[in-house]
Amino acid sequence: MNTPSHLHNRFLTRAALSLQENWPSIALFALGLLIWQYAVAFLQIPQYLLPTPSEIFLRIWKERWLLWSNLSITMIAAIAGFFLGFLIAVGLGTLFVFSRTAARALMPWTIIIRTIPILAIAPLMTIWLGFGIAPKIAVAALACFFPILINFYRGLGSISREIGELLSLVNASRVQGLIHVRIFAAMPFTFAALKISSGLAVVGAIVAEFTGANLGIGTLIVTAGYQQDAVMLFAGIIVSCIASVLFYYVVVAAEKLCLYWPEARMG
Amino acid sequence: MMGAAHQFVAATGVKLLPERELAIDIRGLSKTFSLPAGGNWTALQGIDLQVERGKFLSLVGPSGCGKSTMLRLISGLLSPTSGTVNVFGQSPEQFRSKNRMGFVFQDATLLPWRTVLGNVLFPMEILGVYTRKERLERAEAYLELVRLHEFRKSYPAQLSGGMRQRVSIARALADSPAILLMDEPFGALDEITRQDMQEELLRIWAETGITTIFVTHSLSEALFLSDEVAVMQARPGRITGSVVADLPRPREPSLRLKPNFVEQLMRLEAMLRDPDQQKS
Ligand SMILES: Nc1ncnc2c1ncn2[C@@H]1O[C@H](COP(=O)(O)OP(=O)(O)O)[C@@H](O)[C@H]1O
Ligand SMILES: [Mg+2]
Repeated sequence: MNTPSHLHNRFLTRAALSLQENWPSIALFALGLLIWQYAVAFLQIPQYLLPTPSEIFLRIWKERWLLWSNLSITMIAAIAGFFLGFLIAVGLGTLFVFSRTAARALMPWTIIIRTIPILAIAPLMTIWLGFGIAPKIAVAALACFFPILINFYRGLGSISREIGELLSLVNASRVQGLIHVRIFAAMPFTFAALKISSGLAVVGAIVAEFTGANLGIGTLIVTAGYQQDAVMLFAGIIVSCIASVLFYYVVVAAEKLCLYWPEARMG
Repeated sequence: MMGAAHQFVAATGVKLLPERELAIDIRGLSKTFSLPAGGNWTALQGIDLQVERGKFLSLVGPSGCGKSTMLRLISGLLSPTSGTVNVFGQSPEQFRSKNRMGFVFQDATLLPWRTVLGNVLFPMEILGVYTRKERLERAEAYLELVRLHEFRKSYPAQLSGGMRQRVSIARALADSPAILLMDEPFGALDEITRQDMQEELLRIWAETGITTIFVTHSLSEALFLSDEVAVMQARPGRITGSVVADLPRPREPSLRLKPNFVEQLMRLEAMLRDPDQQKS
């Protein structure tokens, strides 16, 4: 049955379905761009204040290699920071399950770290870790680790009294309870946090570039700001938005893979 | 269809032990909880209960009289404040460290990320009993017994409440426990499904000879299923009397309409209404 034309048709059907579902947002987006384009011309707003969408897209196309080389560096840092934050969060959450003392001792510290503004921690990271990729990874990890920890830990504890009793009745060890039950119970919570954290990681990496870096989309944006180059500012903002959205959907795809059982996904 | 399960019964089955062996022996049992508002709450007081091997006993009583707490004490999920619980002459924990005790919760309490088959396999996998092949054979045999074999690849969310409860019954039985504890297992079912399940349960019980304690607040359900019905009252939770069912086995559905059944049902009802009228 799965002839190429059959698959092709299926793809078309799915594309049509997705268009059917999403046309209001697409139409609104297109309308917004049109209004923007003509309002700028009609009201004679100077380019250095607000460029038109067409100017911005032309600039993105012209500078595509520059934008791409800088954006990819930022995104590598963001993704690396995301995974680092994830690993630390999962490690701490697991530790907290095994040791209430550790949970009591360390939880306040994670909250204190949480309250430090990212903008303030970024220069410190640059002083400690230099102008390379390391401070960006650190800030991105710091930005996304807390929501993951909170949700993962809450998810681990989300099993009902009866499921807990079921574990006791089969003499399950704590490790068995963790890998056969708690991890699964925590997955929907964790992915809800990962979706938020994907964006936070990108913001973290860009903020780290503001305070001193040689490369990256954040550096590009800061430089454009000094030069009062509004077109380049918009170009930088737009491409980093696109990258963030793509990253978000990669996480969504991973979620679909991991939460394979029905009614697993939250919101 | 039941042949496969039979095979396991024969393999692990009922050995020829001295008659009238006590499966469960509860003496002077009390349980108090400390309340969040301060002070203590006596959930159970002065419970004495003996259940012989292979018997079917029901606990009936108003909600809050301590039926679930009784099952938790018998299974060792809770420990008594005073008094003793013995299961085949051992403490529940001792017994459970070497033997199996099946527990059916009021809600099916399945793991949503495991298929029906995966859920039935779960206790055996965690306990590490049998070989992988034997576990699979057992799980499939018990799924057949509860008539859910076609659904073995489905997830709990894809089943009705009654089907989920049957999965949890298969899970409780799959490793041939010596004792089966059931906490209002049919409470959420409609009347017809409930009667079907009662007959299925009796069939499984007769086949396996498993000592069963069944909690319900339905008197007719208790009477239909049991050898003996113990009546409980609340504040404090206690056993106020018990009735030995004088009914033939196997129990036929039509039994529920026989004068003999109705008469015993009314006697139970009177006991439940008027706790002072002690009866044994
Ligand atoms: N863990 C607990 N902590 C405090 N009180 C409890 C606890 N478990 C049960 N109880 C109390 O014990 C009494 C009996 O509860 P339970 O055994 O659930 O009754 P039943 O199953 O007959 O409805 C109730 O009053 C309940 O509030
Ligand atoms: Mg109860």
